[in-house]
Amino acid sequence: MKRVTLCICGMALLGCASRTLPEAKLTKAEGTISAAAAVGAGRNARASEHLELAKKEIEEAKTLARDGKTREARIVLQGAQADAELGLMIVRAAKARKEAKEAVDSEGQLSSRLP
Amino acid sequence: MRAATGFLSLGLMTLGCATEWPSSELVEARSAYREASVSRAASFSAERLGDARRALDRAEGAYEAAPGTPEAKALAYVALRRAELAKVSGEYEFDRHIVAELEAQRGRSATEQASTTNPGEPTPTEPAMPADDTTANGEQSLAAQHDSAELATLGEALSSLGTLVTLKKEDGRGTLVVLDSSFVFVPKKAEIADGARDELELIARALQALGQDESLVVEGHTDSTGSDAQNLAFSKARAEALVKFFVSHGIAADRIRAEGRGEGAPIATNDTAEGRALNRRIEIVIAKREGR
Repeated sequence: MKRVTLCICGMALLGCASRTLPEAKLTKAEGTISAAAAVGAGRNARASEHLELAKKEIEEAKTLARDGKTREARIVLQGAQADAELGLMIVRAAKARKEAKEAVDSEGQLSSRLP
Repeated sequence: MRAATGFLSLGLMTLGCATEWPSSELVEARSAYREASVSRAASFSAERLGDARRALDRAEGAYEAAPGTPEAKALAYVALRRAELAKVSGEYEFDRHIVAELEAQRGRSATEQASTTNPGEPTPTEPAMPADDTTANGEQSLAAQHDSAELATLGEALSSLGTLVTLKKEDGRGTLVVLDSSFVFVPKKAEIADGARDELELIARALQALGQDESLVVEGHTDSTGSDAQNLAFSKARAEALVKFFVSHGIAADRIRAEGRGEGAPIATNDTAEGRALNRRIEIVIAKREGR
């Protein structure tokens, strides 16, 4: 009987610990990683690096949360979000740069405004 | 002498305790912020630069309160990334500004050119209709040509979005632009995610470019988690949020409407997490407007 009670308590504690990471923020970080991958981050070395870091940070945040280090876990998750956004932005910026160069080339003017 | 040495040692120890060298993350974060603040982010991405400033302030606060702790280091890392993000974002916005400026210039030149040509002549963008193509078969053929051309145009305009967007043609409905809700919306809310705005603007421009003859129905779909009524209301709310976004980005309000489909039209099984993710989606249905 005691063993069953202990087991239930243990499971309850484990459940609480895994819930300490804000689900919406976790989903947002994972969604940003997926979005970056979908727009072609895999073909950009710098963006890929940040996405890999973001994935590792998400895992680290989950581990910290499981260990009861909630506050630290949340900050690490913020780092994951920042890395994921940076990865996505790097891809966007590379595309925008290409488009701007093409537009300037086709226009044959304003070229001095681009480095 | 011994007393003086003792005092000196004590003083050094006290100084040692009070002064903790900033972590390499904080040093890098400060430097990255300085760099970002004199980059294009200052003029073109002020909001993200503000985020970076706030992140650095939090990191500095944590360093002052408890230097050397994992929390202080983690906050410095966040600040570093926010500063880098602001810098890249500034470059991105600057390039977009250049493209927009050139497009506007091109538009002005085209208008000026059009005003100097003979108004009686058809413009190159208005192809003359074949005079004898009035049969039912002929009309179908033209419609089919129109649809495939539309799909190709959209495909080209949205190509940079990769797999974020799926295009398909469905009999009886028209052309469909399918978007993953987890990218478009804030989780569990009928609110456009900040990270999706740029891509949605691109979609808005592509839809605008189709012309005024097309009607647009934005349909929200959910998975089967929750009650039917909740899912219907939620899918409608998300569709409405997207319509509002598109209207604020130049799509004529009389051309576009929102519909909630709830969980009623799944495209995958609701028994797995992957299937449910596919079912949580937005479909933009593009069809010819009646009477046009």
